[in-house]
Amino acid sequence: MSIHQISIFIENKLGSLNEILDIIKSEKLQIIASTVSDTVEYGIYRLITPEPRKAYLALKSRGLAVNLTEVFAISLANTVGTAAETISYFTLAGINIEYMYSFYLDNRGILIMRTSDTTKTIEVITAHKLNCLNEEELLQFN
Amino acid sequence: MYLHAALETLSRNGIEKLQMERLRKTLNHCQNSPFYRNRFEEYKLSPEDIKTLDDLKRIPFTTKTDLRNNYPFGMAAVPLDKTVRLHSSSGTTGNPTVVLHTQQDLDQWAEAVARCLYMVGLRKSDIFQNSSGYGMFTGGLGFQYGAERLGMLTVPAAAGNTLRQIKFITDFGTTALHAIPSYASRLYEVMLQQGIDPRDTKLRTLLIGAEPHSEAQRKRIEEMLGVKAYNSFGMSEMCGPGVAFECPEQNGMHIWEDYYIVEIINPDTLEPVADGEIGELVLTTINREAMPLLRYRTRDLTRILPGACPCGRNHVRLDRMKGRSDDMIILKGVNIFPIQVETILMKFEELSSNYLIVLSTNNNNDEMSVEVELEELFTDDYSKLQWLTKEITRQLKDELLVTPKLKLVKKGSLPKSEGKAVRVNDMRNH
Repeated sequence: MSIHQISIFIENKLGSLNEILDIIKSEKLQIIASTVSDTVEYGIYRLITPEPRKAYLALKSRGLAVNLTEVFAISLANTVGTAAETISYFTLAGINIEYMYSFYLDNRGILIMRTSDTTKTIEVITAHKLNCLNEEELLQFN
Repeated sequence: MYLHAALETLSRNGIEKLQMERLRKTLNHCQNSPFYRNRFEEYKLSPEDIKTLDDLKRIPFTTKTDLRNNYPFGMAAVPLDKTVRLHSSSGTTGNPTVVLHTQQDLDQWAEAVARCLYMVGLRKSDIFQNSSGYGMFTGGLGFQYGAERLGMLTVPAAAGNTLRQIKFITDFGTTALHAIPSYASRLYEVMLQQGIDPRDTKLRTLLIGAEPHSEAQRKRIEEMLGVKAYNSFGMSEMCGPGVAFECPEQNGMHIWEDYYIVEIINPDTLEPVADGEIGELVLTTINREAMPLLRYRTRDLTRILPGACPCGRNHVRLDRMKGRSDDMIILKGVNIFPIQVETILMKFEELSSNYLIVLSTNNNNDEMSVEVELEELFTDDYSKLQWLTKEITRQLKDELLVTPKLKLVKKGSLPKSEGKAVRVNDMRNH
């Protein structure tokens, strides 16, 4: 039900992203989605790729501080209000969303979510029959 | 087990008897050195005044400044044509210091290094690679001659060129390596990049030293490279490597008391410290021809470990160096040694062993920041990263009594010299 995201520690310095992207490129991996968040001194670059373990090992062997993080990729119909309704299920269940980002994939909206409680999240997804991408499905985008 | 069994297992009495005998000889011999002859006259001392080891206290200290002021040959106790080797410090802060050796000095030095290497289990069947700088730096030739004396195949790889070091290790089947601790970490990183598991090599023994490091850092090196790592202590004024070395117990470095008389003093009062307390190491050479040194202030801070060592050697053990009295940082009136910072940082597995202390002045206020490389992104969660930063800062504050600013940086981003790591960057404008 969940997928793995790559999280990379980056310093707020010119060229930090390029270093990572060049490694991903040399491994011939697609980037399906990515986002950078930052504090004053450092940031975390998060990305979704069809082969997260391959990316993880490639980045780690180059000396980068990397984390393989379990996240949910909820696929939503491309209509107004779907996101609001979907998130309300989590709100009602008392689940905090630590971070979220979204993108289009094959004319569907994808929400990547990291929540405070994985077990409860799976319960909500099952109860509301939410459609989640799994890692096999991601492979077709490579 | 012992290369020089009779000397290594001397009883305390035996050691002191030998020391007194050699000290008497050394004091007489010092009269051939223009520096010591003048100094004895100045203090109205004669070698006969020193009747017991305790009387040594009557002799004034010798300092690095004395060596500099008598540059280049003023300390020599033999005519130059009896000397065969000269080593010298870099002299970045004034005249360099020069150390002269006769052939007998070189032989004794090689014997001392061979004794150390044998003590940690190396035998003539081992293949020894030395990644020290050669030339004036004593870690190169010092280990070279000692390893050869033991009969090992010795590879003078010298410093730097990490890819070539790794090629030598794998191609020659190096079993023992001499490297400074920060370079051992570097080797590990490059091995991984090359797809080499250090545990697949024949490397089993690592000799580290020349750079202060913590027990945690040693353990980490041992784990990374799959080796036993032995700490050592040496200084060019005493000859170089081979002054003190760990035995297989890995608990303190035996300093060879048939070569040196050891004192630990308070660097402020110059009085001896109480047994087991930290102070400055002071050494008197009692086995040297070209340039004997009496009560030489090493500037290295350490203590003598109390108790007997299970290895059977009664030569006292020095605790790992606590830094140099010159390395001490004074920030807002507080004395800080980089090793204190390192000891705290090494407790956190998330951090690499590379760090940098930066001192700066901001609005006439001196500040200390500590930059440390993040080894593992153990979490994807900012609040946990922030907790880590706060926890490290809290522990540093408890240890140092000043609050540093902690900055996590990317692995490999701190300046990493292939020689001694630069740990302090003082940018204060006064």
